[in-house]
Parts: sequence; C-alpha cells; structure tokens
Amino acid sequence: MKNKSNNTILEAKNIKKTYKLSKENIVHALNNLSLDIKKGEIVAIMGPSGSGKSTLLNMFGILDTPTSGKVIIDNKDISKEKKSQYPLIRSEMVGFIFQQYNLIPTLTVLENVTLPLRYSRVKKSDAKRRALKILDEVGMKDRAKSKPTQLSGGQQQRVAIARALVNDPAIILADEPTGNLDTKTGDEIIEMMVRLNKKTGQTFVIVTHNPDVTRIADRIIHLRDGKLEKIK
Amino acid sequence: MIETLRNMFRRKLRTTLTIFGIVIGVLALVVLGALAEKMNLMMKGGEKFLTGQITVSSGAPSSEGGNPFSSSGFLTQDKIKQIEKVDGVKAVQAGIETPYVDPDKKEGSGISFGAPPTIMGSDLNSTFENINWQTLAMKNGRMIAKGDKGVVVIGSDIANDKKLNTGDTMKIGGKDFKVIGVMEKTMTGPDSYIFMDIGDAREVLIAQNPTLKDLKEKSESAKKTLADPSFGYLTPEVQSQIKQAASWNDADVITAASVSWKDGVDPEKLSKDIKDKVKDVKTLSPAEGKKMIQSISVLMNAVIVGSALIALLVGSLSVINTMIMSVSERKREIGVKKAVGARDRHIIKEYLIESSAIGLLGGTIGLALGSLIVLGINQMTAASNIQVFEITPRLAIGSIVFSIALGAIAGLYPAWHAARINPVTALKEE
Repeated sequence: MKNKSNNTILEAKNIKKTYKLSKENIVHALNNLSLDIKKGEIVAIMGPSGSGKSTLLNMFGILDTPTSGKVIIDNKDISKEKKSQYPLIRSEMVGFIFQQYNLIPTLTVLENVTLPLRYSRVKKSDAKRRALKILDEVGMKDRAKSKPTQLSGGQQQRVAIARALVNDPAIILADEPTGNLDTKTGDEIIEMMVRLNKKTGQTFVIVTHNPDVTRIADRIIHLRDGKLEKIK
Repeated sequence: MIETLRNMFRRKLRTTLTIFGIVIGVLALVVLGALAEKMNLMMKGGEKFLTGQITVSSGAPSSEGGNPFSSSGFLTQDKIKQIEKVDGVKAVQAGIETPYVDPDKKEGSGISFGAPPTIMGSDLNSTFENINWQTLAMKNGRMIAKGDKGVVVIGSDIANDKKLNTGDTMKIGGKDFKVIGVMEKTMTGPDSYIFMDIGDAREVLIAQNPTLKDLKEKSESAKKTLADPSFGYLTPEVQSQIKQAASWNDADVITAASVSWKDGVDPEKLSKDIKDKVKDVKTLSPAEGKKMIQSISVLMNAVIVGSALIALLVGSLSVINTMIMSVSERKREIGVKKAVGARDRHIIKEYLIESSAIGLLGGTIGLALGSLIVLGINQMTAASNIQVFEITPRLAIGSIVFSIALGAIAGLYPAWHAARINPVTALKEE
C-alpha cells in the first residue's frame, strides 16, 4: 500500500453516483471511480457531455454526495461529516471558479472577494486585508470599488479567481474557466492560474474542453460514461 | 446592510410599488388610528369622571299605569334624602342634565365633534365632590359655587363657538345668563358643558319639555284653586284631581344624583346598597362605569383600527409577492453564495432583512404622510376649535414597529424558500 498521506490533497475512493429517474430508467453518472490528486498539481478533466465531469466536480466541491464511496479532502473524510457542516467545510477547503464568473452584481469587486470570508466569520479588517492582497496578485487591486458590470469578462474571471483563493483552500475547482472568454483572454487566465500554482502551490482541478489548458496541466484525466478512460 | 438597499432597488419600479402598498396601509392606520386615539382620549375623560362617583338615576318604568302626574324618569327630593341616609354615603348632589338648544343654530347645522352642548345644573349647596374631577382648570373667571344664581360657567368649545368670554351675557332658554368663568380645554365632555345652578337648569328644562311645562302650569293653577275659598264647592272627584295636580312639585325634577362615599367604604358595595335600600333607582358604580366605557371603546377601536389593518395586510401581500419574485430571479446568486459557504441561516437572514427594510421604509413614509394629512386637517378645523385627530406616541411607534414586523413576516416564506435552493441545480441554470 503506497503511502498517500502527506502529498495527496484529494482522494476519490470507489465513487458511485446513481440517479433513479424512473423504475426502469437508472442513470449511472459516476461508476466506481477512484482517483488521487496530489498537492500542487494542475489536473485537467476532460470528456464528452454526460461523461460525469460536472458530477465529479460537485463531489469534490462537497456540493453533492456520492451514492456510495468516499471523498477525502486534505485527509478529511467528507462522508463522516454532518451535512449541516458542509458549507463551512466547503468555504474553508474549496474554491470555485465558474464558466460564467458568477460574481454578485450588487457587490463591489472587494465585497465579492470577501464574500467567502463573510460566511466563515473572519474579522472584517482581516478580510479586507487578505482580499486586497489577493486582488493585487491577480492585478485587480485598483478596481476594488468597481462593480462587476463595469468589468470585462477577463477582469471578472480574475476577480472570481481572487474570490476562490481568498480563504486559502486546499483545492480550486474550475468548471470551464475559459469557456466564455476569447482565446487571448483565455490564455491570460490560464497563465495566471499557472503562475499562482507555482507561487503558492495551490492545487487546481480544471474541467475543460480547451486544449490550451491540457498543455499546461500536470495530468489529464479522461472520463467517459462515469468511468476513467485514460490518464495522461 | 447597504447591500440590502442596493438589492432592494435593483428593480426600482417594482420595489417602489411594493413600498407604496405598505405606505397606503400605514397611512390608513395612522389617520384612522389618530381618529380612534382622539376618541380614546375623550373616553378616558368620561371614564375618569364615571369612576369618581356613583351615579344614581331613576329606575322607575316610564309609564306607571298611565299616571300622568308621576314624575317617573326623574328622581324626587324624597329619593335624594333616602340616598343620603344610606350607610356609607358621604354626600349626594342632585343634578339636572338637559340639551342646550342654540338659538343661533338652525337644525342640523354646525356639527361639533365631541359631546353635544349640554346644560349641567347642580345643587350648589351640596358638599359632593367627584374624587377624580375635584378641580377643573379655569382659563379665566371662576367655577360656580354655593349661592350662584343666574350665572354660568362654560366649557372651552362653547366659548369658542359662541365667542363668549368671562363677563359676557349668554342667552339660554330665553333668559340672560352672565358668564362668570370659562374652562380650560379638557379634550373631553366638559368642553361642551354649560354649568349652572340646578334651579336655573330646571327652569330651562321645564320650558323645553311640553309635558313638564304642562304639569307645572296645571300645578300652579291647582295650587291657586286650592287656596281659593270656592274650592270647597267642587265635587270630591274634582277636588281630588286638583289635589293631585297641586302635589306635583317642580323641585322633584331631578335627572340624576352624584354620590360620593366615605373613606374606607367600598363604592361597589355602596352602589348595591343604594339600589337595595332606595326603591326604583338605577345606580352606576365606578366599576360599572369603567366597564361601560371600555366596551364602547373596544368596539370602536376594533372597527376603526381593524379596517386600517386590513389595508395594511393587503400591502404585505405585495411584499410576499415581490420577495418571491426576487428570490427566483436571484436563484443563481443564492447558489453561488451557498457554494462559497453560506449556510441556510445566512440566506434567510439576508432576505428577512430585505423584507423588513421594505416594511420599515413603507412604514416611515406612511407615517410621515399620515401625520401631514392629520396635521393639515387639524389646522383647518382649529379655527372652530375642533381637533379631530390625535397622533399619540404609541400610534406612531406602533405603526413603525408593526410595518417592520409585517415586512419580516411577509418575508418568512420567501426567505425559507431561498434557503432551500440547491446550489447544484441553481448553478446549472442558464
């Protein structure tokens, strides 16, 4: 048995996810899937639609629970935790980046970045400090008081990255982060994620169709019909 | 909480209309409530008065076998004496209450808000004092006292209405009365009263009442006939009729008596004793008086305030509607918030604060507008010394508190609904 403890940040053990749509119609979204992700890795997950990519990401993000099997994040077995605690664990251990950025339009850039901290009871002054530091990292510090509607797609995604990082989570989960961006901007975002990965050792799990992502990934995981097809 | 305001005005028109719904409800509550509060004030005055004495009136049925000479409906001097003798009674004051017929006013014109103008005659020789109304504040002049005759003290509404002051002459029932005092405004009954000696009041009453007038005239002529030597020549039948007519004494015309009790005596028990020991009288004890006023008060408040509350309730329905719509529009946002760590209680709190803020805003504007309307109307009627509305602190604070609470309650279901949103499905939606 290999010693997985120190370096493995995320573990999926025999994950099954089934949906029962009707008596005859049972969907196996994830079919006995096992996977390890090491700290500091950039992992790309690819596959056709219906392959289970989003479902897997929801498992990693503690937004959903497997029908059977375990998810272990930073040595914490999620199945052993109370469901009411999921949001708190999520805010501390997982950062999300979405295809549609999903910034809150009525909040400023700064307020958007401090949003996760609002829910994890960090002191307001500390939250502001941390948020400004991260905004500086992603090059959006001077737009701290702007609203998302005043920003371009690329700028919004940078703010979203800052938000994902602000709580210093174990993993960052990105669902098609460049999907809504043009090639040039998309490349900038990818470059930023690589830079942050090198600088802070942040682990990235990126679901993508973008070949530019696969180029910079440490590993590529292909899914088909809820099962691992190949790992490069 | 700035976020709340920003969120509220994302849909400016919708939020404005919703707030407006609350505004109308609170406006209705404030205006109608002020009306009710003014009436409550007047009722309080009446309650104070009635709980400070035992009020005795005639309990005899109005027609005793069709005897036209019986003074039923009135207390007689004899009855007053009997009441005085009841153990525990401190003092008894005979009184006459009769409407004041204004010679200057035509029928049905000049509606005064409050008690109608009334002549209150009292036996000034009595030592009676109402324990709650011992001294009535005078604006100028003095209150009527023992020995006064042919003079009146008038309430502030009467003084303003007829432009009378101390020293002027007032015509009542065809006779001239000198005004020796004007009372301060009491916001209740006495503002429309004319106080005078009981004898003077009696004259006015009899002059206004055809039956009594007739009885008096018959009595006077009967007395003359009795004194006349030719009386003896009349038939026994006629003699007895004349004797009966002569027996009617106008001093027996007393509409009610006010009774005070000795220290340490329970007025409730005394009230019962008077009823038991003196035949054919009705008594109103302090507790009974209080109950009577309160039941009128409760009914009146319920009707007036109830209708305003219905308006407010309707306004709150639009809050529920607006909140439900905004929850469904912000579904994705709620999903994002949950994804970054918001628990159910965070989401519920956000939406409850928003709906309460709508209530607060609507309540404040409604109160402000309602107050303006009330003040405006009060200004207009101030010239005739009438104040129809009274915005009490409890009305103002109550309206605000109620509108906040209503907003919060209206937001409960939408907030709960928002908390139940599944982040996975919310984030998937386009």
